Amino acid sequence: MFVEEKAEIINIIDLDKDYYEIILSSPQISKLAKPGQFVNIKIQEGDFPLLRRPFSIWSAKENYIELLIKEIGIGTKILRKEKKGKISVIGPLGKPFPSPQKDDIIVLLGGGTGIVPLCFYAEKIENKKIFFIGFKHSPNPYILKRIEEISDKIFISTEDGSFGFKGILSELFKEEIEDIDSEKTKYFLCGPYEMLKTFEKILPIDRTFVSLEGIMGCGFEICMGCAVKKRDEDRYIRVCKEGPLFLLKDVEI
Amino acid sequence: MKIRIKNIEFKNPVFTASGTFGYGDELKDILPLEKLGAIVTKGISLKERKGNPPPRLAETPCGLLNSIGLENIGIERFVKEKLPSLKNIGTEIIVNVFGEKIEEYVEISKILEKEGIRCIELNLSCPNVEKGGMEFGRDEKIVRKIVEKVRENFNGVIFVKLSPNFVDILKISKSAEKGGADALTLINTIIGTSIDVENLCFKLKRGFGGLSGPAIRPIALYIVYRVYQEVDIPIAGVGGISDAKSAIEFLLAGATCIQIGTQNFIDPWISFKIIDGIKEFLKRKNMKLEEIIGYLNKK
Repeated sequence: MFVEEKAEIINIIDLDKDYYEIILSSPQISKLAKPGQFVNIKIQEGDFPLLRRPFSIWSAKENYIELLIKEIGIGTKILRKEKKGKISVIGPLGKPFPSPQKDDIIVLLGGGTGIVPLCFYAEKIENKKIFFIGFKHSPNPYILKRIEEISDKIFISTEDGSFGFKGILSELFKEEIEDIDSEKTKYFLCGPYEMLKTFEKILPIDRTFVSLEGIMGCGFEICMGCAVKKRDEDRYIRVCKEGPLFLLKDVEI
Repeated sequence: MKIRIKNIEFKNPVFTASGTFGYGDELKDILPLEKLGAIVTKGISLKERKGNPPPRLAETPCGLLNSIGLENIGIERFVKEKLPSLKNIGTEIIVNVFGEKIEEYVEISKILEKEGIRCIELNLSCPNVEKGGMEFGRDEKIVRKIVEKVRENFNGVIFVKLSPNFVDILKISKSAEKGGADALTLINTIIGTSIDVENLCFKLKRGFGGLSGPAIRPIALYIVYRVYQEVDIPIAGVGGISDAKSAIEFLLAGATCIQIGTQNFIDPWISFKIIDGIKEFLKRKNMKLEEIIGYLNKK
């Protein structure tokens, strides 16, 4: 069940060159939203950019939803400069992340904006949570603080070494895996394609969930655009319908 | 707001376009689907089709390229899993029919006739498949033959959806009419591509796809206008309609009904807004629907 809401832009906060946070007053969607779900935003009225832009929900509480966005193209560039006012938001879309077993240890592995759905999940669950985050360069302290608040333990890598471990996240993770992994450990993975491919080789695919992106026409099952191939089967399923979260053993990334 | 095509009366002239509204019932809990003039299902083939590998979509200025490749569950599963629910929606269902061989169009049409479906739309225009679709739609003799063969086996309303790609659309339209089509759907997507310069590759995995959205509206509108002068059967106008105003453009150019495509992705409530918008326009102009259909066109 999703709705369209004319959400009021409460604030757009520049975090650094790439990242910004947007806070929307969205009473209906904020009540319906569950971790792992996303919203689809019409950047501005008119025919350009034509399609809505899908964003994972970073947090939803009271009447507000929060999104952490990386400027990567024309849509996210225009949105960043949006004046205060109302904006059309459709959501919540996609299946929520599953509720964990009581004694599951939840390991969250996020690269860049891949941290976003993982943060919302971590915020909502009571389990032991270990967060691995990877960025190209040192993340904004505000983002770090947020993750610290919702994790029991946090490991950070930056590709340029400006903060934490120098290198890619999977290298840092390999150093820790022996201490972390058990049958009770569940992994939640979200990030850029190269990162997912690297982790696919390391993680147990039957205990790893991956939250995928897809180039989407609609976000609500009708365009068949966001196809992802089933592992070991000759057919496609959809990021917006069956996902965005998949058990890694079920999909080809 | 009612329209009639052959022996079928539609509640209003606003339909959803094939491939842009799923199988038709996905949004039944959210939208009052019974208020639509008709729902055109996604293309249904004889056998299940898995579709093309992703990326299947690429956005362009005011447009959308797609290479979905007619992913669908095939007629057998469609009849079993989708038709019962579609029949309960309370509006006309137009099943879009696709074949790689002429016989497949005939076979699917026979099954649908038996299932009580009253309207079909023959897809002779999809650019995203290796065989059939647009390949058939380029050849006026084949177009006529397919329509004739289906006509022999299907008594309901036959729409024929045509492509503007690499053809004389006037000749092809006339062939479809001669073959026994009851209406034409104009136009399917326009073939195009888009390139990812940074990564030196095509944006679509298949390399090219069909362009839809407001970017193609003037082309679609002109084709509707021109074909209207050449044929005596009704036209369903489709191509970049995004609001009531653009829908009315198509009616004025000669479309008896219109189909909403890409805009469903951006605003799934759009068809209902367009129905209200056309009503409001007619009231304001003190005109009837039949007066505005083809208003700017002379035969």
